Amino acid sequence: MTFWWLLSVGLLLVENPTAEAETSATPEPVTADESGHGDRDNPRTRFLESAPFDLAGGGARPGRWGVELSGGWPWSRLRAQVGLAHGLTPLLEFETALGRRFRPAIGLGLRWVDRPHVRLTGEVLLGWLFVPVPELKKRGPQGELRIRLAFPVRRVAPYLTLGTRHTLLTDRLTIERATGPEVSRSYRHNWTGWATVGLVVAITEHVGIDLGIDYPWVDAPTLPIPGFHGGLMFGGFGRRR
Amino acid sequence: MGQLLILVASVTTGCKADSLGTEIDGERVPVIDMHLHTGEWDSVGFASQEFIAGNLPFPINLNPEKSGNQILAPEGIVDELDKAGVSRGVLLAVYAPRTVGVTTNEQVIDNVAQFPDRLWGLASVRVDRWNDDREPQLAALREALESPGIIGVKLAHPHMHFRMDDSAYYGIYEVAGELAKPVYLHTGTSPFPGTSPEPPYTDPRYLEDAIQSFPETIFILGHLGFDAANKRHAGLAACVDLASTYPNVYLEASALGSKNSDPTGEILREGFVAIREAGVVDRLIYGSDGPQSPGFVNDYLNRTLIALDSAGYDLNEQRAVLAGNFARVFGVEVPKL
Amino acid sequence: MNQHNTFGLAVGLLLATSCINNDVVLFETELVASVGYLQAFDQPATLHIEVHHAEFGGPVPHALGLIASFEVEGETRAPDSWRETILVPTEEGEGLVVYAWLDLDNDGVLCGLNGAGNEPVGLIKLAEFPSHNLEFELLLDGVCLGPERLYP
Repeated sequence: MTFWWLLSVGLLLVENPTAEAETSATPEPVTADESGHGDRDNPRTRFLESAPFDLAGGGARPGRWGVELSGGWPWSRLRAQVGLAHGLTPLLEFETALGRRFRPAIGLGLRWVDRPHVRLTGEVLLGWLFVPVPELKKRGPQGELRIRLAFPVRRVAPYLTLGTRHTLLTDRLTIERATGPEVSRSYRHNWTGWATVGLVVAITEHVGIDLGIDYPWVDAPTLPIPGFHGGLMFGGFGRRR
Repeated sequence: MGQLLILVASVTTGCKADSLGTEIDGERVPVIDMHLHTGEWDSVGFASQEFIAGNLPFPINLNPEKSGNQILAPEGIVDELDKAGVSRGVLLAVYAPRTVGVTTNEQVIDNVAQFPDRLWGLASVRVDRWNDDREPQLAALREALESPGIIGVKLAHPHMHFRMDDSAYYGIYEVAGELAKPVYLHTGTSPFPGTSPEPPYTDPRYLEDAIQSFPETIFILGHLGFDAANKRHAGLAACVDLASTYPNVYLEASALGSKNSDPTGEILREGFVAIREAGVVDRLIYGSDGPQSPGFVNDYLNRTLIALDSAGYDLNEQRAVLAGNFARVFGVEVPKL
Repeated sequence: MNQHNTFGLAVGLLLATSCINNDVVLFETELVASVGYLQAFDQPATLHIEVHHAEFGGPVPHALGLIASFEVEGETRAPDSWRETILVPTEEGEGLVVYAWLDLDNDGVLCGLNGAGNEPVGLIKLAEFPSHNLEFELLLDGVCLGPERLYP
C-alpha cells in the first residue's frame, strides 16, 4: 500500500507542473467546458468538471482521464478511466480485499444524467474473481452492473455507488467408471451486492481526495462487517475547449 | 493488518464493559460462561474449517486461520469475557477428529494456567479407538482431571460418534463420579458436517440409563437437546423430564439462542419457560458456546438476559442461572464483583 | 454475426476459460453382498447399510467417515443379499468399510428406546478396494453396536 501512495505522490509531482505549464501556455479564456458546467472563474462551478468529480460521479468528457488509488479496510483499489466520444468512458479496475481476494476488471461507463449538480452514471464491468484462501477458494469470471450518483457542490461531491456483482463458478466432477472416466462440469452463481457512500473533495481541478464507507455484501447471506477507504484522485489533464 | 482487523471487528461488535458482571434490576450480577471453545485452527478437520470460514463474517473469513487462532486463543477469549462483563469462563477440551476437531486436554490445561483467575477447564477423552485404548484413555482423563483448574468433563456424542447408551463408555462417568467432576454432554443434533444425527447419539433420553447407573455423577445436558440442524426444539421435554426426575441432572442452553438459530429469541424463551414451569430453575447453568466470532459472547449473554426476563425469571433466579447454580455444582465460589 | 451469436460466443468463452473450483473425483464401485445372521429372522425387516471410508489422513487423522447410506427391504424375512453401486470420493479418505444393522421393529433406530432391542449388526472392511466390483460376505454377528465399536 505504501508503494501505491508513494507512486501516486510521485506522479503528482511529475504531472502537476506539466499541467500548469500547458494551462499557462494556452492563453484562450477558459470560462466553461463543453457542458457549460465548469466556469473556472466562478468558485461555485470551478470544480464541476474536475477529475475528482468525474471519478466520483463516473463518466468523463472526451480525452479526459482520471485515476484513483484508494486504500482502506478491507478494500484497496486502483481505478482508471478515460472519456471517449458519445459519453462512453472505458475504465479499468484492480481491487483487493486484504490481499486475499482479487478482482481485475475492465468496463465501460455512460453518464445518464449530466446536470451541474447531479451526475448519474451506469457502468458495466467484466472481471475475474480470484480468492486463493483454501477454505473459501473461488475463481471465475465476474460481471458487475453499477450506478454512481454524485452531487457536486463547490469543492465537494457526496456520492453513492450501488453495484451488483455476479460470479460464475465452475466445478468439475470426474466419475471413474469401469468403462473409463466420465467428466462433467457444473456451474454455480455467486452474488455480491455493493454499496459505498462517500465524499470527494477537489483540492484542485486535477487532484482530489475520497473518503468513503463500503458495505459490500460479500458471501451472502452471511452479513459482512462494513469497511472504509481513503483515496487519492488525480487526472483531468486532457484537452479543453 | 491482522490487528487492525480485530480492532475494527471489536469496534463494530462491542466495546469492553466498564466492569465485570451484568446489571439486572439495578444490581450488578456476576456471570460465569460455562461453554467456551479454545484450540488451534490446524486441529480442525478441513470440512469443518470450510464450515466455520463460511460462517465468519467478511472480511474476517478471508484469513480464517489467523482469525480463528486469535479468537480461540486464551487472550482472545478473556478479551471477549471482558467485553461481555463475564467474570469467569470455562474452556472445553474436544476430541472429535471426524467433525469439529481436536483440542487436547494439555492445551486446555495450558490455557487455563495463563489466566487462572478467569478461566477453568473441562477435560475430555478420545474415544475413536475405544476398543483398543479404553484403559489408557481413561487413565489420561483421570490425570487431566487432577490438573489445576480442570473442574469437569466434556463429551459430545454426536461429534465423537458414540452412543449415549453404550455401556462400554460408562467408565468415563465412573471416573468423573469418583473425582466429583461434573460431566457436560452435548445433546441434540449439530450443524457441523460429519456428525451422527441418529437418536442414540443425540436424544437425551438415551442418557437415562447412565444417569440412573451413576447417581453420584453430575450430568449437565448441554443445548437442551436442541435440533441444531433444523433449528427447532427436539429434546427440550426430555431434558426437563430428566432434570425433574433425577437430582444429578443439570441443564445448559448454549448456542440454541444465537442470532443464527433463534433470530426472534423465542426458542430460548420457550426453553426457559419450560424449565421454570417444571420447577428446575436451580438446575439451569449459563453457557454461550462462544467465542465463535468477535462479540458473540456478549451478544449471547444479552440475548439470554432478554429471554430470562421475558420468561419471568426474577432477580434471584437469574443470579442462580448466571453463576450460582454453576458454583454450587462445580464446588467453586461465585465470583466477587 | 448477429447479437445472439455474439452473446453465445461471449458466454461460451467465459465458460471455457473458467477455472475449476470444486474438483471432485468419484470412484464408481458396485457392491455385491451376501448377508449372514447368527439366527434366522423370518419376519419383515429392513437392512440399514452404511458405507464408510476406513481411514482419513490430514491434520486430524481418524477412522471412519460416512460416504453413503441406504436401505434394503426384506418383505417376508431379513434380506440375505443386496447389490448397490456407489460413488466413492477417493481423494477424501482411504479404504472402504461396510456396516449394516437389521431393523427388526422397523422404528428406523438401531436398538431404539422401547424397541425390539438386540438388533443385529455387522461390519466388514473391503480390502480389495479400489475395484469397480466387490463381492463380499457380510455377517451380522453383533448386537446394538454402532460402527465405531466394530472398527477399528
